[in-house]
Amino acid sequence: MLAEIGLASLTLAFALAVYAIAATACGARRSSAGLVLSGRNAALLTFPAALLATSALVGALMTEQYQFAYVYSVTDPQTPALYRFTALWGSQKGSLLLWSLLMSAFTSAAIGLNWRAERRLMPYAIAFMMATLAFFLGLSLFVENPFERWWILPDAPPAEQVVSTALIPPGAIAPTEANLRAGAEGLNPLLRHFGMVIHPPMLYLGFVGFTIPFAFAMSALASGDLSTGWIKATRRWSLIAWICLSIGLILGGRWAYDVLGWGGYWGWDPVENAAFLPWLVGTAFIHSVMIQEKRGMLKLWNMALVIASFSAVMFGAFATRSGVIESVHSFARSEVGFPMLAFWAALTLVALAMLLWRWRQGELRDERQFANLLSRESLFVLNNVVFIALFLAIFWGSFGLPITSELLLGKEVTVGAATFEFYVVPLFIAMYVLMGVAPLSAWGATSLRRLGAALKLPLGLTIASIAAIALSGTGIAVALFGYGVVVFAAYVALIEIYRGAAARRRALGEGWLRAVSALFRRNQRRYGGYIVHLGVTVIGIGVIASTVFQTETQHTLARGEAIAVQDYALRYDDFIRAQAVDGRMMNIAAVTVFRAGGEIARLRPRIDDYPQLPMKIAGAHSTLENDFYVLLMSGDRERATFRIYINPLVNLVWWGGILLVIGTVIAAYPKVAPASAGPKSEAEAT
Amino acid sequence: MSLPRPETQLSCLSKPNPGRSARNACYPLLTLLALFALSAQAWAQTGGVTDNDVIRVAERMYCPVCENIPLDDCETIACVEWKEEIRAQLAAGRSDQAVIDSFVARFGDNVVGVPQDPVLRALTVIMPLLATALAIGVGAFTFRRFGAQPRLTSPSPLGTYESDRESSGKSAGEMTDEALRQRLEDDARGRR
Repeated sequence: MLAEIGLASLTLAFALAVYAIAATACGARRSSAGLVLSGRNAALLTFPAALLATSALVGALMTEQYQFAYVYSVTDPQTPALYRFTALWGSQKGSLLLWSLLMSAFTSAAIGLNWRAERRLMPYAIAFMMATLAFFLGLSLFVENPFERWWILPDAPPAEQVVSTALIPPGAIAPTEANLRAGAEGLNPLLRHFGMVIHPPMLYLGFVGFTIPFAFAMSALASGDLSTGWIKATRRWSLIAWICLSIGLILGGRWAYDVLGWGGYWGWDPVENAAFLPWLVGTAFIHSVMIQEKRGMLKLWNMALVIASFSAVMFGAFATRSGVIESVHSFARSEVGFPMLAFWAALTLVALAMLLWRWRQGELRDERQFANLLSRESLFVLNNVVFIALFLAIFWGSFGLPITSELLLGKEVTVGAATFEFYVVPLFIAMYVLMGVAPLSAWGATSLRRLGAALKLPLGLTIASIAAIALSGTGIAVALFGYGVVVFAAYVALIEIYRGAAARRRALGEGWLRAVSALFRRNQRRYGGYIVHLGVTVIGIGVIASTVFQTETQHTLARGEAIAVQDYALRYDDFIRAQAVDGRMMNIAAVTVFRAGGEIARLRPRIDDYPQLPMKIAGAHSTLENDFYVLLMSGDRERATFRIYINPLVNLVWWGGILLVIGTVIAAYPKVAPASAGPKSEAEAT
Repeated sequence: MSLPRPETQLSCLSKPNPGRSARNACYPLLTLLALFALSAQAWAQTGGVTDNDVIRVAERMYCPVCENIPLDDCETIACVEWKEEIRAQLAAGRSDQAVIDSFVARFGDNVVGVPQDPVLRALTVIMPLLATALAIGVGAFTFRRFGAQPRLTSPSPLGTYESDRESSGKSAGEMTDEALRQRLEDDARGRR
C-alpha cells in the first residue's frame, strides 16, 4: 500500500509542478491573474504531495518493507531505527526524493513570504522554481524510482525471473519475506555516523536554497523588472542557503575526521569540492549584492553570480551523481548522467542568453561611477575576483583536468591535495587580506592616507601578536606569515565592534553589554558579518596549525609496551573483540595516554568489521590545545599497530564554524522595525 | 623486543602526580624508553624500514582502486600489497622518488596527486594561473565599466540604508569620535 501511495503522490507532485510552470508562464505572458493564481496554488500543492511521497518511503524504511528495492539496498534487519530514517538519503533514489521535498518546501515558503511584496516577479519565479522541481521529480519518477519493488516472474527465463519495477508486472508474485530479510544489504558503513543525520540534509538545503535567488533573478530578466526588487526578495534566501551549505561543509569535515580515519577533515576530494564550489560563488554574491543595494552598482555582475551559483549547484549534483568523477565511462553507464548534464547545460545557457540580451539592451547599467581603487566597493570587487579565481582553479583541478585528460589524452589522472594547495593557498591569503582591509575602507572614496591611518592599529596588534607567537617557540616562517594574515583580519573585526560599542557608550551612556547588544540589534547585517569574519579567522588559525604542525607516526606495540610521541606517551593495554547490537564485530584496542607524568585519557580506537568494508574508528583525546588522535590499524591480543596523530588547534576549525553560523544567523535574522522608524528603517526591515 | 609490563615500565607515569621534580626526573627515562622501543621496533621491521618511512612515500600516492583516496589511508588488498612493495623497495635502497617513479611507470599518472605527464603538469599549473588572470580581467572590466558610465542623478532606492561611511566618505579608522557619535545618535533615534 505504501508503494502505491508513494507512487501516486510522486506522480501528482510531478503533474502539479508541470502544470504550475505552464500556468504561471502563460499567465505572465497573457497578464492573466487567474492563470497565475492557479499556477501558484499548484506550486504550493507540490509540497504536501512530495511530503506524502517521502513519508511513504520513510514508512517503508521504518517498517522494514524489504520488497522495496530501495529499502532492501540501504537497510537490513540489524539497522538501528535512527539509521533506518537516515537511510532516506543513504543512496541515490532516496536522496533525489529528499532533494525534491526540500525544493518544494523552499518554493512554498518563498511563495508564501514574497507573494504580496513581489507580485510582478512571482509568476516567472514560480515557473523557474517549478522547472527545477519538475526535473528532479521527473528523475525520481522515470529514472531512479524509489518505489520500485522486487517481483518474481515464474514464467520468465531463469535469468530474468527477478525484477524490480514500480508497477506490478502481469503474473508477478512477491518474494518471500524471509528471503528478502536474509538478503537485505544494509546501509553503507560510512553513513553510520551521527554527522550523517544532519550533514546531507544541510547540504541539500544549501543546494536547493540557491535555486530561489536564481529563480527570482531569472524572473527579473524575463519580466524586465530589473530594479532591486529581486535582490530584496532573495537577500535572506541567499543567506539561508549559504548558512546551510556552510553547516553542511563543516559537518562533512567533522564526519571525515571522525569516520574516514585519516586524521584530517578536508582532502580536496572532488565530491567535497563539488559542494565547496557553490559556496565560493555564493560567498562572492552575498558580498557583491551589498554594492548593488547601497550603490546601485554591479547589476550585471550580481546576475552573473546568481546564475553561476545555481549552475555550480547543478553541476555538482551532476558530477557527484553521474559517476563522471570516477571516469567518463562511468558517466556513460549512469542513467541520471545525461539528463542531469542536459538540464544543467540547458538552464545555464538559457540564463546566460537572457543575461546577455538584457545587458545588450542597456538594462543592467550601474547607477553610480567607480570612484577609486581603495573604495569599499572596489575592494569588494577584488574580493569577488579572489573568490571567482578560487572557484575556477578548484573547478579545473577537480573536474576540468581529469575530464580533459581522459577525453583528449586517454589518461586517467588524480589531482591531489598537494596540487590544490599549490594554487589555493595564495588565493586564500589574498582573501584574508581583503577581509581585513575592506571593512576599514569607505563607500565611495578613500585616500591611501586615510586607509593607512585606519590600518595602523590592527597592523600594530598583528605585528605584536606575531612577535609573541615567535617568542613562544613557533619558528616556521610560513606558519607565522599565515597566522599574521589571519589574525589581522580578526583584529579588524574586533576593533570595528569595539569602536561601535565605545561610541555608543560615550553617546548614550550605555554599559558595554548593552552597547554591544544594541549595536548588533541596530545593524545586524554589518556586525553579524563581523562575527562571520571572526569565525572564518578562527577556522583559518585551526587549519594552519593542524596542517603545518600536525604530527603523524605509526608503530606496532606489544601488549604493555609504550611509545612516546612529543611529550605524550601511549601504552597498549589490551585487545577486546566484541559484538555490537547491530551485529557487527568490533576489534577494540584499550590504550592509555600519558602526558607530563600523568595519565590523561583511556582511549578505545577500534576496527568495525562490516561485510562491505572495515571501518577504523579513532580514539581521540580532545582539548582546545590539540587532539591526540589514535587509529588502530591492525592487531591482536599480543601486538597491535597504531597510527597516532597530534593535531594542534584542530578544534578551532569546529569552534570557528559555530561562530560563523552564529554570525550568519544574526545577519539574516528578520528585523522588527522600531515604532518610530522612518521610511528607510522600514525599508531595511523588509 | 619485549619491554617490561606497564606497571614496571611506566611506574612513574601511573602514580599520582607527585610534583614538578618527580615529573622532570621521569622525562629522561620516558624518552630513553621511547627511543629504545622505537629503534627496536624499527629494526625488527623489513631491513630497518619503519612504518613511518612507508607512510612518507604512501601519502604522496593514491589508491589504484578507490577514487582520490591517498594510498596510506586505504586498506584495500591492492593498497596493502603496494605498501609492502614500497617497504621492499625502500629496503632495497631506493629513494622515495625512485619508488614513486616505478609505480608511475607501471600504473600511470593516476597513482600520484600531481600529474607526471609534462603536458598535464603544465596544464595543472597554467590553468589556475589563467583562471586567476581571467578573474582579474573580469574585475578590471568591471572597474572600466564603472568609469565609462555616466553617473545618474538619483541614488539607488536602497542606496543609503544601513549606511555608515557613505555620506562622510570617511573610514571608521579615521572617523572622529564626534562623527561616529553623531551617526550612532541618529541611529538610536531611528531617523536613519
